[in-house]
Amino acid sequence: MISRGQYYLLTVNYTLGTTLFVTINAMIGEAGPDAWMMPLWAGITGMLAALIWIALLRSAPGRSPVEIARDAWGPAAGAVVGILYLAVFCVTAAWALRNLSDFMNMTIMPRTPPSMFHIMFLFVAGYAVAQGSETVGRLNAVATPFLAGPFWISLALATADWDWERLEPAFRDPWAIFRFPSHLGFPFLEAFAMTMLWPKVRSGAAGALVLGIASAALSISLVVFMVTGLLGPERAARINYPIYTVVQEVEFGKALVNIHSVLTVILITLIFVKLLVLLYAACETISQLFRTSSRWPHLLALGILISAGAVSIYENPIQNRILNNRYTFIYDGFYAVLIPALLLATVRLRRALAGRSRRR
Amino acid sequence: MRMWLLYLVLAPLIVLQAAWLIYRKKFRDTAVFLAISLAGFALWAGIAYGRPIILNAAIGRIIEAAKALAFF
Repeated sequence: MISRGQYYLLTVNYTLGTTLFVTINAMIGEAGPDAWMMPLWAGITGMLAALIWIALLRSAPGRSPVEIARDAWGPAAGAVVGILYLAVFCVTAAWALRNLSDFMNMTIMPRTPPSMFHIMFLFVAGYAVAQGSETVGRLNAVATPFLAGPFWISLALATADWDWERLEPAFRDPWAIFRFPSHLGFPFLEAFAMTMLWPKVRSGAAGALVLGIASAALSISLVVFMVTGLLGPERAARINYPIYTVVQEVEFGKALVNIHSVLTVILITLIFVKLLVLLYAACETISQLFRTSSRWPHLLALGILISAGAVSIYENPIQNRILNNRYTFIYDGFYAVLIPALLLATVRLRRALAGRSRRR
Repeated sequence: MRMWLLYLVLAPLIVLQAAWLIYRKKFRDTAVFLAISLAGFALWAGIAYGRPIILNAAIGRIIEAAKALAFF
C-alpha cells in the first residue's frame, strides 16, 4: 500500500514526465506569448476527466478499471477493454522511451544507439516494478526533492536574462488551446494510468489525484512562462528542447558552468518515473486480466514488446508532431474519457435496475 | 545479419523462459508470456527487415477507419 502523499507525488511526476521535453516548443509556437495559459486549460480538462475516473473507482472500492470493466460488461467485453488498456500502457511507455532517447541522442550522447537507453531503462524499471507498488511510491517520494529543488533553482538562475517585453502582447490569444486540442489529450488524460495504482492507496486518493494534476498543470504553465520570458516566443518555438537551452546558457561563477547536465539528470529521472508507472500499470493489467501467478516473466515479455515499440513508435520527430496534432485528442479521449464514462453509466444503470427489482 | 542477431538474442530468451514456465506447470502464464513476447518479436523482426510497423501511423489509420465507419 502507498500513502496519499506518495500517490500525489507520483501523479505530479508522471504528468510532468515527457511533457517538459516534447510540448514546450510546440505550445509556444502555437500560442506565442500566451502559451503559458494552454497547460492551465488542459489541466482543467484533465481534472474534469479525473472526476469521472474517481466516480468510477468509488463505485467499486478496491477494484481497478480493468476489473470494473470485467464486472460491468462481462468476461468477453471486459477482456477486450483490458487488452486495449494493456496496449495503451505499452504504447505510452514506448513513446516515453523514444522521447528520452531522442533527447539523449540530440544533446549529450549522440553516438549511443537508442535501444541501449530503452533496454537499460526498462531493466531498472522492471526491477523496481517487480518489488511492488510500495517500492514505486517510495522511490519516487525519495527522488522528488532532489528533482524539484535543483530544477527550479536552475531555472531561477537563468532569470538574469529575463525580459518582460518577450511576453507581450499579453492575453491576445487565451483560447489557443481549442485550435490545438492535442494538448487537451497529452499529458493530462494520460494520467489515466494512475488509476491502476488507485486500489493500492491507503485513503484520500481522490484529492491526491486531482491535486497532482493541478500541480503539474501549474508547474508546466510556469515553465512555459519562464521559457517564453527568457528566450522569446520566436526563438523558443524553433528550438527542440528550450528548457535545456535556457539552462545551458547559465553560468554561475567559474565553477558551475555545466548546470544543464543537472537538468538532464532531472528530466531523465522524470521520464523514468513515467515509465515506472506505465510498466506497473501494464503488469497489473496482465495479472488482473489473465490471473497470472508470476511477475518477472511478464516483465521480460513487456520489456521485449516495449523496447521494440520504442524503436518503431514513429519515424522521426516531425512525423510524430503531425500525427500528434491530428490524433492525440481522439486517441486519449477514447480510452481516458469515453470508456470510463460508459463504464460508469453501466455501473450506475445496473445498480438502479437492481435497486428497483429489490423494491418490487 | 540483423535477423540472425535477432534470433540469437531473443529466441533463447523467449524459449528458455517459456520452457521454465511449462516446467513449473504455469500454463496460463506461459500462454500470456508467449503472446506478449512474440508480439514484441514480430515488431523487432519488422525493424530488423527494415520494414518497421510504425505504431503512431497505425493508430492514425485505425482512427481514420473508425471515423469513416462512424460517419459512413
